[in-house]
Amino acid sequence: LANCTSNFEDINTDPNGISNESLTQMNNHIGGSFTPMFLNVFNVTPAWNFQLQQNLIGDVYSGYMTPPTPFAGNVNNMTYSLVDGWNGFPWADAYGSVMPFALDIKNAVELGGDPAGEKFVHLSNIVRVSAMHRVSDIYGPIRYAKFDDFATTGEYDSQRDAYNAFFVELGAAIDALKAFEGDSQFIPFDMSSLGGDIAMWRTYANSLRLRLAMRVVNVDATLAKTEGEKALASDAGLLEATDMYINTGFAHPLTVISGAWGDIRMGAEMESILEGFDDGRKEVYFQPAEDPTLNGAYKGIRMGVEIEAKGQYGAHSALGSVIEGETIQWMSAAEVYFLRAEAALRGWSGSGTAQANYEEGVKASFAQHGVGGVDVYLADNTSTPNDFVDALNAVNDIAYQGDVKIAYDAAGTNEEQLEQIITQKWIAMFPDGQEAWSEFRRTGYPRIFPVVVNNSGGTIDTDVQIRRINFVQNELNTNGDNVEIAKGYLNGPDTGGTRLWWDIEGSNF
Amino acid sequence: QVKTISGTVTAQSDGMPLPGVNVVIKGTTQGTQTDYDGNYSIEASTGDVLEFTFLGMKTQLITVPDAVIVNAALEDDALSLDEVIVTALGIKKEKKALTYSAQEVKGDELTTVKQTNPINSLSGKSAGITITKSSSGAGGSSKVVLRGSSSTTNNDPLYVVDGVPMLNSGNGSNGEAPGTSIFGDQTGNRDGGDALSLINPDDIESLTVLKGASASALYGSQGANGVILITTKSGKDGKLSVNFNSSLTVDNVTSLPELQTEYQSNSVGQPIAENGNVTDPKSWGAKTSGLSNTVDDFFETGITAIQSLSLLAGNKVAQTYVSYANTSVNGVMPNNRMVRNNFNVKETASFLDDKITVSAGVNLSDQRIWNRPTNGLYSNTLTGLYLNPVGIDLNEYKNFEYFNADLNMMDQYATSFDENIQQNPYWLINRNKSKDVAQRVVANVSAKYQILENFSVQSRASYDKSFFTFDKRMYAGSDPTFVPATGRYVLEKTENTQQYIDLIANYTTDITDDLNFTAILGTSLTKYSTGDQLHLDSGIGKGLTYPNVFTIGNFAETKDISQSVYNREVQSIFASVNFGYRSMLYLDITGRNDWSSTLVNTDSNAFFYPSFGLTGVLSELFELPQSVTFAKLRASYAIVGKDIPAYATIPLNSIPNGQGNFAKPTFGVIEGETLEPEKQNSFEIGTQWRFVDNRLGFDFTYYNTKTTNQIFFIAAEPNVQGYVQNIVNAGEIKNSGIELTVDAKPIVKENVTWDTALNFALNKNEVVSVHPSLQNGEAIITAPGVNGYGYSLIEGEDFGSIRGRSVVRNENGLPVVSDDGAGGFSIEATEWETIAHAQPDFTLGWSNSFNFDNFQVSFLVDAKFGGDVVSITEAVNDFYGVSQATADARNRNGGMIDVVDGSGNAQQMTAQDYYTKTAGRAGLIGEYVYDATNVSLRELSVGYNLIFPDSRVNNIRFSVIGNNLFFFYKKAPFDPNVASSTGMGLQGVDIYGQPSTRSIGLNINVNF
Repeated sequence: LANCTSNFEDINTDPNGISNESLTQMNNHIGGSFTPMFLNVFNVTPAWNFQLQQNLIGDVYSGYMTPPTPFAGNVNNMTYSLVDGWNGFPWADAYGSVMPFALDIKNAVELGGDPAGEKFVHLSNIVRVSAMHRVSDIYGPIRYAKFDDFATTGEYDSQRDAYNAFFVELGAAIDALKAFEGDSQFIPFDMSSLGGDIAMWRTYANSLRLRLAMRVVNVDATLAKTEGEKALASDAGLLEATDMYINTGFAHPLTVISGAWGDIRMGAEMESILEGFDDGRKEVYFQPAEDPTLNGAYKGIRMGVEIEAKGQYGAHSALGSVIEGETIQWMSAAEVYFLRAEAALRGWSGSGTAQANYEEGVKASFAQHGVGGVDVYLADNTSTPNDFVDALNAVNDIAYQGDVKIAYDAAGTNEEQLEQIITQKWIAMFPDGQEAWSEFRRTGYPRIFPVVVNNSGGTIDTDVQIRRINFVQNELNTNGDNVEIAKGYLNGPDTGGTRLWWDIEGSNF
Repeated sequence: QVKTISGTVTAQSDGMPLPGVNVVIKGTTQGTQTDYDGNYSIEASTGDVLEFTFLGMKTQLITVPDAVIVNAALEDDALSLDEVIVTALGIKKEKKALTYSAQEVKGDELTTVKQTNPINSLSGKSAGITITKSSSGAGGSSKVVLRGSSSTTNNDPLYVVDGVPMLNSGNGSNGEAPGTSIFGDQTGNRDGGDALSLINPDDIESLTVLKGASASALYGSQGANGVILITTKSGKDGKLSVNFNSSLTVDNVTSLPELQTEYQSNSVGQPIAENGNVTDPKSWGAKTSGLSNTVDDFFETGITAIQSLSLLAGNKVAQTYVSYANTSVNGVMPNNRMVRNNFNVKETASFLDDKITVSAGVNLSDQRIWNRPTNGLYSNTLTGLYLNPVGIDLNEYKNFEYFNADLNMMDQYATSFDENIQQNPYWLINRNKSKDVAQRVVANVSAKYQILENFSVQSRASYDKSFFTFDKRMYAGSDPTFVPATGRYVLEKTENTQQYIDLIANYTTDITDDLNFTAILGTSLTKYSTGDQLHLDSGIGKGLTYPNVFTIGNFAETKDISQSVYNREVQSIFASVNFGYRSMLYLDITGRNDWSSTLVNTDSNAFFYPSFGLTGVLSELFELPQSVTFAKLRASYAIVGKDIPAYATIPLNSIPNGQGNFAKPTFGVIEGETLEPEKQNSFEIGTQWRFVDNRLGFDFTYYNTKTTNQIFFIAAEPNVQGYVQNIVNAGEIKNSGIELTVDAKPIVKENVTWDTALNFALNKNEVVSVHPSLQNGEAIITAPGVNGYGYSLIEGEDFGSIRGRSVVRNENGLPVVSDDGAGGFSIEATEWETIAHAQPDFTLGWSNSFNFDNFQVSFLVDAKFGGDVVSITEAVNDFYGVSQATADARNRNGGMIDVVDGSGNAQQMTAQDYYTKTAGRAGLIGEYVYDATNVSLRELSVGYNLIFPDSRVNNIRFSVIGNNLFFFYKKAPFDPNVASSTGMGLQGVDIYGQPSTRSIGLNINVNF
């Protein structure tokens, strides 16, 4: 009988599966694992997954975009009724398609025994930090430092611990990868605009370190300064001419969401600021409203208003050519200049002057989008954001709560200068709403309008606005004990109203 | 005085001559058989007693009179206790010796009121079987559950045709996969059909339902959910007959949702866009009058025509059965059609003085369905139909396309694409066309060699293959969420194959005069290859290169093509011993050992199941009153198991659809755990009594099953592999219940008979435990996701908890609200909780048959009591303001809903505000729970027999038939006997399923 059943193993092997052994061919056991990571920091397909991972969280809370669609009878994320069925996606994408693949790379390198494999671990760590800081910026505590070990994989890090781990990993990568500059083994696996150039990856990692350093400045100024100055001083350099984006091979999901589905439109804040500044980038970012009564204006929708039917606001401004092509941007050179501008404002050494960096940032952004007239723009010292006028319902009209201008005013107070820097950074980072929402929460800029309808049941203050997303339902179901511990890392209840670790109320200085 | 007696023996039921009837002079060995035409002659004396015996008929004794002609009309004897019944592995057993419950249903009970899927005709005819039809119309599959659901993976019984297990794997996405959501598949939640529904009902001689594990223990891992044995017709020695049957029914929809015609949409009077879009797709506008509902106009009168022809011929050596059937259905949904052809040949022959019997058969089926109805919210005709804005005449949208000058082609003309669940229903039936082809071939051969009088060896082999093709052409202009601007083409080819061979030795002997012994030893090998599929889908990315050219060469990208197959092999040895003591006491012991390929990488790939059964014939053991014809008591105990899903123990990476890169396995075994087969312990005890010459009888069974080591796919605990789900053995599900069948012949007169039977079954089940790692003892089968419906197994609850949220109400039943900060109210909702269990508490079937001379009237009342179902249809209809409920609410109380705020102050909300916040697919589905209790007149038939004694035509029977005629009682807004899915994921919920149909028609049967 042993003979009869000897082929059971063959029978029970899926002929359409791919064994790990098979993947070792052409190093796909290492390199192939980068693909799902690249495609899931921002999920690229299917579009509805991106919609739930990014679009209906960061993209709307940043003021970038607003859906004209009254999802679930208008009782949804936009009106602060946080939809658990949506908000689990940033988590699921990270823990299904990023974290385990990073571990696979680490294991494959360890098993392979080739010391040159070490570079893949560091590169994978850079991608992992790119993904996971975004996840942490949504929920706060995440499973990170203890993830790779079976015994502790369910345990959460406080956001502070997670950020410290990010800094350690980025620092280690920047240092260790120096020895691999010129190494070509990563070229076939690199889907990014960096083209497998290890030196450029060091630059990107260093820029990411600066981004994260700035994020923690209000809660831990010392840590921020230490990490920030490391970044400013590093021989890895900072992104200046090169934007970091991924060649996904898929149409940008926003083309589907804005185009075919008609489920996302210009945000009210985008209208106020771009129109108020008469900013040329509006023609790249958005299309004129199709609604004939709007006479071809760029028209946004305020988030969290009463919407009865999709038809009402559906013909407001859709997204423009910025999302054409098969790429997704992770970090623009412009953003890095604005980080340097803020670093200068804060007196970090090695950062130059705030004004110069600010202007370089604006120029980089105009150049990136092929928009002319940057010098005139930068000289404009009168334009301010418009007050918002709802095309359909005056109840939603609201004045812009500030008079930030374009031309840099080095004589302004620190807060005034910061508002200029962050407002321009906010424009430049479009359409990465997640990063824009994080920076809004950190700095309070630009002046995002509060919701009109608040269905949070009192858990999110309308004026304070949403600060995070509550822990995901699936974790509560499968990892409840650890989630309970993680709740203890929060500054308040597990709701959307509780501020994250780096999110400090009050002044930025 | 010896004389030659002659005569004709006929069947009392239909007057047909019976060939091969044994005619013996009682007390002697002198005898003869009737010939071809039922004639016999025998030498006998006046006063001798002639004994006429024939299988399946009551034995008749006639004392030879002075005359020389003795005709006999034998009575059917479905209740005969000496009758044999086909049991596991095709082994025939005396009914009275059975140690478990087995219920036989004759072929004609299935065909009197014929249905296109023969299994649907079983409803109400056997205790303990619950049949739920899919809502996909003709050619759809059915969910069949015996004695309640006991398994987390599969509750389908095993079907065995003429002793050989049949492969009933279906094809399609009908809620089979865990996590199926109420959206359904993007291309429509479809029922791919199954093999069983391809069987020609007229080929069925009889059907035996083996409900408990004891009865099916000999089938081992396949029989854990009970077995339905199908015996098909064969040719008979000395009989030549041709039977032609034609039935035609007209089918009309019933149980439509109630839609309102009082409040129009705000779109009425507003401009309509070039593409037909209206300004407001909902119906919350002004009160008006004179509107009519266009839903009734949409559905058509369906026609179901079934023609079948069969031919039986044979002599002593060889017998032939040939049949052909054609089924043609025009569905109630426009453009839905089905055509099926069945061809069946069965040949039996005997050699070497009957020592060797060989039988071989081939069965071919070909079924084509155009535009099979789908359910779910996406790409479903009925959402657009029901949600059509009130006052916007849908007839204006019958012309479903307009010329889009920009594109230089036709485009969809629709009121709205709101929430991606509305499209023009006429567009969907004309421009989202589908074609389902199902073909099946079964070839089998069996040979039996009677080596000695008491020792035989038998071998059977079968090759069972089904081919399914699904072709769906979605034109450019369909909802862009599912269909790119150039259109989408899905072509799927699936094959299911089963190869089976067995070898069984049978030995029987009388150990003493009183003690009889039978032993069976056998082995079998089954190879399965199911879901062998090529899935070609142009996808939702770039779609097609040239619009509306539906060929795979026109695919603009190939990210959505894939292959799959599930291979499995099971090897078995089995044995059974049976002792019979003086026809009074019977003892059965069986054992089976299975080796399954799916158990590779577990602790053992073999598993063993025993069963024990004991029967005592009380009427033989004890002196019972005269009125008791027969009584017996039986008890049995069995352990059966079920292997695990293919490949579960060897997780591999894959290239999933639409991704373009490899992905890690999405589920796997928890680190440090292994899997083992599911195990079911079952005990049953029963008793059968017959009284007054068999005119009254009952059969009562109590059973108790405990299923452990269930296969659960649970949301994965945190893990480093990235598993989304873990596959685990866990849990315990208990089922216990009683089954009672009562049958009686209250009237037996020369010209009038009345037969009546009652089938009652009560099942209680409980999920005793699930996997210990699961929070709150909840194993989620269908996660709610963004919707309002979830389905879980929860410790301490009945099997299958429907999960949802409800409106929080105060002690007066008023909804509790809170301020939403903008001058409105938010409705307070409960947490997720169990809102319904769909299974009935008990079921009742009552069948009656009256014969008045040549008239025959029969009817069947089918009832299910208890259980609750939910309706997403109603929730979404309310959300859009198209339901009658919303009109009623607007007519009441000035259109305001009384609510109460947190401080207890009375407040009011408009009906629109209230329904917008509570209804819809993501709404508070707890508000949409309905009692599933229903009592219906399932079948009615009035027939007349014309008998032509001396003609080529033997008889013609005309009957008027009706199916699913009406409900005596029903509370749910849809037919709760129709399911959204025959899989696990979507139970007890209606999501825009096709309404059930009432069929009335005519059946003509001609016998030559």
